[in-house]
Amino acid sequence: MLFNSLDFLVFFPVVVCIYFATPHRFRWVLLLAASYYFYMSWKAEYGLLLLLTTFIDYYAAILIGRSTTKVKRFQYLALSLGSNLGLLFVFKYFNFFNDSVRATFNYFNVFYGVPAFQVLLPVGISFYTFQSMSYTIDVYRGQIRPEKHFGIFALYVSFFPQLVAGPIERSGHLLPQFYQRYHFDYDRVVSGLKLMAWGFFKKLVIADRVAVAVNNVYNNPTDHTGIPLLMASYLFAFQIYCDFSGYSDIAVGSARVMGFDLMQNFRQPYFSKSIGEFWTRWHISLSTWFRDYLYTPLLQSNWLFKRHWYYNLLVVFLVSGFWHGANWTFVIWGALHGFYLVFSIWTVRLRASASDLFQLSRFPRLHEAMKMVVTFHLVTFAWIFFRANSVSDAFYIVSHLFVGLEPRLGFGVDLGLFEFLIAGLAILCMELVQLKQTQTSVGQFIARQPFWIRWATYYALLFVILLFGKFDTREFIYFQF
Amino acid sequence: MKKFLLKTVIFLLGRVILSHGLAAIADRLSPNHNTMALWNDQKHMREMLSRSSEIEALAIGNSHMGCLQFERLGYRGHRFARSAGDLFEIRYHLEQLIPRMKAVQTVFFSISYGSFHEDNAASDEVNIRRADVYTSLPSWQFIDGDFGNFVRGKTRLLIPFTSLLRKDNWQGVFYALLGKTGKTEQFVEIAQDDCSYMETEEWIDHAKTNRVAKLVRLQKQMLASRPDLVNNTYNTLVSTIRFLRQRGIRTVFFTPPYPKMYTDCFRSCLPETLATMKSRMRRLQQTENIEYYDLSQDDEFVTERRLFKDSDHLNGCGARIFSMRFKRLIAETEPTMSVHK
Repeated sequence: MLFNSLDFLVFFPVVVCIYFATPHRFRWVLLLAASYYFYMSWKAEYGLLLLLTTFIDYYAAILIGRSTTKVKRFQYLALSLGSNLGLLFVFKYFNFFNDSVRATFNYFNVFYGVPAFQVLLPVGISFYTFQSMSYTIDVYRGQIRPEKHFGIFALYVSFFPQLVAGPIERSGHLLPQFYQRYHFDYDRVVSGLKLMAWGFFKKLVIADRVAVAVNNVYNNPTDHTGIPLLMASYLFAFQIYCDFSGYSDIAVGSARVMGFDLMQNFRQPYFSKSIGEFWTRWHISLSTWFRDYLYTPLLQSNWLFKRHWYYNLLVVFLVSGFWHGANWTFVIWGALHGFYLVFSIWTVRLRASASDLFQLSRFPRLHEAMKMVVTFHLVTFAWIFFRANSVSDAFYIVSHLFVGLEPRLGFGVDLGLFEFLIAGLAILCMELVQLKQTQTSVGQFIARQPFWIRWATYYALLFVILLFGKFDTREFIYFQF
Repeated sequence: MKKFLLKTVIFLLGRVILSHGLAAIADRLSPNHNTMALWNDQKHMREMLSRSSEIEALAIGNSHMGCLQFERLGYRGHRFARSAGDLFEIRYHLEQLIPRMKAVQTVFFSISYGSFHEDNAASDEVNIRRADVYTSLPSWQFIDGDFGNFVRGKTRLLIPFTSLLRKDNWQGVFYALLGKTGKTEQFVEIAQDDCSYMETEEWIDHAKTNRVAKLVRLQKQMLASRPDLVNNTYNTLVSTIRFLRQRGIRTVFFTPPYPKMYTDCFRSCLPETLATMKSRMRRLQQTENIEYYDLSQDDEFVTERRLFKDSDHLNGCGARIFSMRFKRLIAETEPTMSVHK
């Protein structure tokens, strides 16, 4: 069930109404049933995989908690990690590796008879397996105690607002919340609904609108050179941000309506002044997951590369790229970001010297703006690889970005003038709101306004979504991960 | 909680009022196809119900029903040609209307090439037409399995969402506000004296890219959603025939004439669809003894492009000639089965 569908518009209010009418001790049952219904509405069989992960990790954590020796504890942790990563490998990466091996064998004219695995990628598998693994790892580290209540743990893994595309929650943050008693709170509910509306605005008015132009170019890149490739790349930067952060806003907002606090997943990432800062603002739940469960252990245990922290950074970003998809384009995207980060750390002093030379410290705002522009362009360049359908497409786009820059009607992206204006105004509006958000919470700012301004804002947002939203139910980009 | 519920009700009321206001503006400046199709349905419904005691013959069906002119046929009748109407909707209309129209003695049905492969509720692209049925017909019953569309259809009486949720995202309205004539949606019932026709190239293009290509696409969606579609439409038609027979109403089926070019195009793109229509109609003749006239390849029409307003619909002149011809045919035939080629 997509958030941007009529089914969800009926499902969510019904679940919320029943939730608040249900006694606290039974609410986990309702939420668990609703979460499985939500997930199985895609494909009923997916529910079995979710249940399998839940069972294995529940019992693995219990056994880790009961074990007295480190070896035993590690074995159960390995069981959990092995099963989760095994599921990911089978459903997401098997065909990629299989095809790569086949290509290698074919190159040497050797027969390779292993067939492809014909199965649909279960929606959200990368998200819920990572969330579940973080739980068993935290139990192993002694940071939390194993959850004894199977139903509550199952709810932690399957909680519908964040099940299919995050934020990837931590057990220490989310699990205790299922034990808390939440009463109907007007301000919290309204705050949640406002956040959901903002998420729908980003998804339906901006992301799905510019997707048309991006797809026109990126699905047939060799038909274009110069400005269309440039424009489509810039538009994709906004498409992926609005699509993913829009989903996160809807997820966080819908959880907030019911009283749950999910972690913030985006924090105005395109205002970042460095790649390092970008990764503290973009998909925060994933980047912190990799920091805590991959980078830090590598740093602590990797005696060979301990001095060479940059190897660990590159490994983390390569894995991160690979997490996004079974395609070399994602690996290159991850590698690019790893390279950006390593290079930026290596060149800190050089860049400081350069800014002293040009006396940029005398113009702090200009300096900050320059850093933001450079960071944005570095990120947008990397997005080319993220979005391209193949490595060859990506290299074609990169090599033809500045070929033939003569002006074209509509920038050559087949998006009509009216659509372009709507997209441009919506993006401008979004950026202004985000600029304000860096100074103060926009939601609270609106809440402090007189009644007529608040309601005018709510009506304006609602009707902009209704009038200008694209309602042909496009999936969210991150569902494919 | 009470404060929240009260504010929600007030907010929604305000939304309904604003929605109606905006919809009225949009419909006045630049009505879209969906809205015009609904207005057409509502207009016909009002006329039929206001003349319910006079109407002797009904022609309810898809857009091809526009080829019948009751003045030529010599009936006091009403023609309700619904754009993209499917057999499920026809049956529903008859079940709801016949009890209210006691004078009806004859019902005319048009069976197109794709009639057995159409179910508007099975395609997201056109299920608004199913919702339109429930918006325009004053009844609280609905077709089996159609509750969602029923709710949508009735909700439209409260909130005119098709006028608000426009495919062009209000581009037409803004252009109209600026005094520009943008791309306008066309939905016009054919006037009896409208003998306009398309030029050859436009005609061919209309057949291939507009009509047949769209039918191919829709059929794929519908069959994916309803694998047993053909059997279901057939069974629906059988039950409709029996419903009308029980009330002593003569049921006359016909397939209207199509230009040869359209038939050739259809046969090459959807050969099974055409074959299915033919075989199912033959089966109906054998099992249900129906009165059926297949005029799809009639020599008087197949090569006369000027009798068609587009690739497959007769224009006013074509409808006049067809109606006079049809009158002679049905007068010659006893009200039992008959097939004419």
